[in-house]
Amino acid sequence: MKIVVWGLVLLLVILHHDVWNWNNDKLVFGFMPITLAYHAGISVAASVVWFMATKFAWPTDLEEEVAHDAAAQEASV
Amino acid sequence: MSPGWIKVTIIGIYLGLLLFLGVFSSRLFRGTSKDYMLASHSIGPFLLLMSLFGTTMTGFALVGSTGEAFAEGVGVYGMLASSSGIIHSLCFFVLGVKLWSWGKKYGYTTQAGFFRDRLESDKIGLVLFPILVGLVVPYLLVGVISAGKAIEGATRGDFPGFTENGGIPPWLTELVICVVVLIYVFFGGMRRTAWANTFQTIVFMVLGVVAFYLIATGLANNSVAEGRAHKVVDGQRVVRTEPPTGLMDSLRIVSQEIPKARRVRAKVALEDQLETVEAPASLGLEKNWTHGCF
Repeated sequence: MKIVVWGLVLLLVILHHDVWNWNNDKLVFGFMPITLAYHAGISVAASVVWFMATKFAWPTDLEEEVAHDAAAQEASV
Repeated sequence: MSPGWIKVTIIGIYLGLLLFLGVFSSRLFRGTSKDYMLASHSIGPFLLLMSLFGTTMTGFALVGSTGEAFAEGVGVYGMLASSSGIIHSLCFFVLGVKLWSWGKKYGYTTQAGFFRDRLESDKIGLVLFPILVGLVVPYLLVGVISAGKAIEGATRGDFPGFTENGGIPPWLTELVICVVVLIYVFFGGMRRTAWANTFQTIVFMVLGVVAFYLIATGLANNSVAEGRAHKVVDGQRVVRTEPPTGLMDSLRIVSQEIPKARRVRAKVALEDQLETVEAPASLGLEKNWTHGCF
């Protein structure tokens, strides 16, 4: 799953450069320029991907290491 | 009360609330340097999120990028906002968590402290300190300057005779802002700063929605009243005389007035887009150091 998350991050970085949209002046819902709507979508997608990252790719070993060290320190005091 | 004094009173109440919040949160101060610099690692996810959001919503985001978007068009959002959503989080994820763990493990509270220890040199700390402070100063100044400009614009004509344009002079706003911020940061440290940022973030979010609605409907009403709005009847473009019927209708009317060059990304080159990835990256790194990690 970690690989999927990092793959999605890479995909976001690539999709962020939407050169194919740059001269399109279509209005989405009759008021929003399409390139703006596209990047609003990228922002929402980024929040979903980073939420997935915290669920599936979070470095829990680091947290455990810190908790272990803190417990050891308390025990020595 | 004149409109000018109403605005000054509202701003005064807002700044007063910030100070009150600072005094209130200082009751939780534990009297240690760790508590001053890091709030004893007690800032939870909500305060951290709000604090980070509030820090990002600086003069650069609220005034600078808005002005840039007005001048250059919608491409500015793609350059700054959506890239920040990817890059800021990437910096936090790759560096932030690691730095947080080292901060906890070795007791680091500043960037200089980390590098001094990592490179085993006291001198590197002495060299880094002025450099790091120097790098933060322009970023802080952007916020202070934009506050001065924004209040000057908002009060223009309200105080005739006080200044040339009748607005509150930028230096006065900047002075007041600096004094208020210095009070709650110096006397309360990180906890007060996080609380103040959270309060400001909530205000920004609520008032942002209200302002969006009022500005959009106001502009649409003006557009109709001045005969600039149009509609298509039987394939013919005719001037619209009916007032807007709601927010969506207002947005449609207002969007008619966006010039094509600003509806597309004619004024944003590919190099600009690529270069600006660096801006959110550097900002993200800075926030890693100053907020979430140590």
